[in-house]
Amino acid sequence: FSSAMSASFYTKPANNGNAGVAMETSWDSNPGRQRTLQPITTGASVLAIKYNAGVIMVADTLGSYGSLAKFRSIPRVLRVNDATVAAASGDLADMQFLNTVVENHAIDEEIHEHGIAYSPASLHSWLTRVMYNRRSRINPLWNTYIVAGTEAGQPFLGYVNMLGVAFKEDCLATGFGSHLCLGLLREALDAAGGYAGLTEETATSALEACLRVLYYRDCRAYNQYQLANVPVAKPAQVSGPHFLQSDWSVAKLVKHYTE
Amino acid sequence: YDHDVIIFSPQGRIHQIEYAMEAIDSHIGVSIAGLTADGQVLSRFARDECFNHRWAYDSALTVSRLVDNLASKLQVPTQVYGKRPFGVGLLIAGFDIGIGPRVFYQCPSANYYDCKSIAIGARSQSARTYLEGKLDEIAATKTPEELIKHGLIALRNTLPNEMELSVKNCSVALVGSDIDFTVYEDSAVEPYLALIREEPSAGAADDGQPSTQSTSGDGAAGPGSSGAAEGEVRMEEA
Repeated sequence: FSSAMSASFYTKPANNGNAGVAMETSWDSNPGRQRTLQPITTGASVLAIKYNAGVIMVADTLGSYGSLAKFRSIPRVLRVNDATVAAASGDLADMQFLNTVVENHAIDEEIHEHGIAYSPASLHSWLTRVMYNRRSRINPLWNTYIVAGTEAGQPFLGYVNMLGVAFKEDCLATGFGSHLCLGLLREALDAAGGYAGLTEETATSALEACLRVLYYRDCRAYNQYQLANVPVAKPAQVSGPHFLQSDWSVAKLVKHYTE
Repeated sequence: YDHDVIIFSPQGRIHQIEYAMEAIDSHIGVSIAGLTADGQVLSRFARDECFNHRWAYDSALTVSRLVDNLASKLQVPTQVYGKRPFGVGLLIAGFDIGIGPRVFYQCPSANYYDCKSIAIGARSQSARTYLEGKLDEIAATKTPEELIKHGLIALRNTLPNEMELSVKNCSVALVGSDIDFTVYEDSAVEPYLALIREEPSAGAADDGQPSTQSTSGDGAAGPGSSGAAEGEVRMEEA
């Protein structure tokens, strides 16, 4: 007998029965089924920093197809609820798949009687379990996620990658951002004596400066981006697209750039 | 006489139908009336749900979500050929941060009810009547002791004349914002029973003399009934 299944007006992989995240399948009898071996359409860095009254996160809107800047208006920042946002770098198909699941979870929470909205810490915990589970089945979701928001009146910032490695910090970055920008963000925090001393304006300009560095130095970065701000006492807001001003006049000094 | 559910004891009791009160998680507990084996399955399921939620989401499963999941599980054997419903009624009490105290009554039919206060079992109607009349007072209680007093008085109202609440036939559980689900049994119940000794029994047809018979367990209960002395009365922690 199949026991009574709950009806769903939206697709969640677990209800679908066939595309489930938690499904085990025999690879021998299912030759068309594949594991993720490499990311295809990718998103670049995500940056985030806490400030005295919340947390800000930025990500550009580029979907790269290898070295081709193919999709120039892809939203990578997801507003989960008033207190939580998340953004991902890595394979954008995997990101969109996971984001659908997250959104459906959030809908579930909202429609359930007396449901409490997903807190950023709960989302971060759940995401870690999902990513680690996929890694352990050698079929990863090829993403690095940053979860940002407010929890019990305090800013929250968490990181999860495709290996299931997860941690929380006052400033975070993925991909190239972790190499080129994390130092800059940490310096901003040190100068302010911690995030409690960092204003929203300073935090925003620090992130913008980092995005500019990335646009100059990361070949897969872009000058159009989204910004998410989650203040402790107010609802989360995702704004964009913002446009980055950059100065390429130094290019003429490059030998052979012009005749 | 406890080998099989169909065997009556000489006292006319069925031992397999009993009461149990247990914690499910630190913030939720249940009181089970009915077939203990079925009750164990549901307790284990409820604990599983709570712990799985904590593992995945690093937070407590809200009482209403747990009850929803329980109800979905109970409904299956009411619709599938060859199965039988779970033979238990449950009172589920818990406290959710950000929501407050919750009390639910889960029936074998899979229906459940969100309650301000509730009493179930044989002769529980007098308890429900008392509770309904005292709803405002109960909502205005400021201390756990005041709340427990109402519960015990309601419970006492269900007793037949010759029976009396004692540490041997009564237990109390408490859960709230500053207390994990805690069960008080045996001698631990005595302080709470002492609170109601001065209160008159409402509606009882006795002369106010406490019964001199001490009963253990379910003395006056008939087979298959949930004796009120061990019936649980659950109330909101105000």
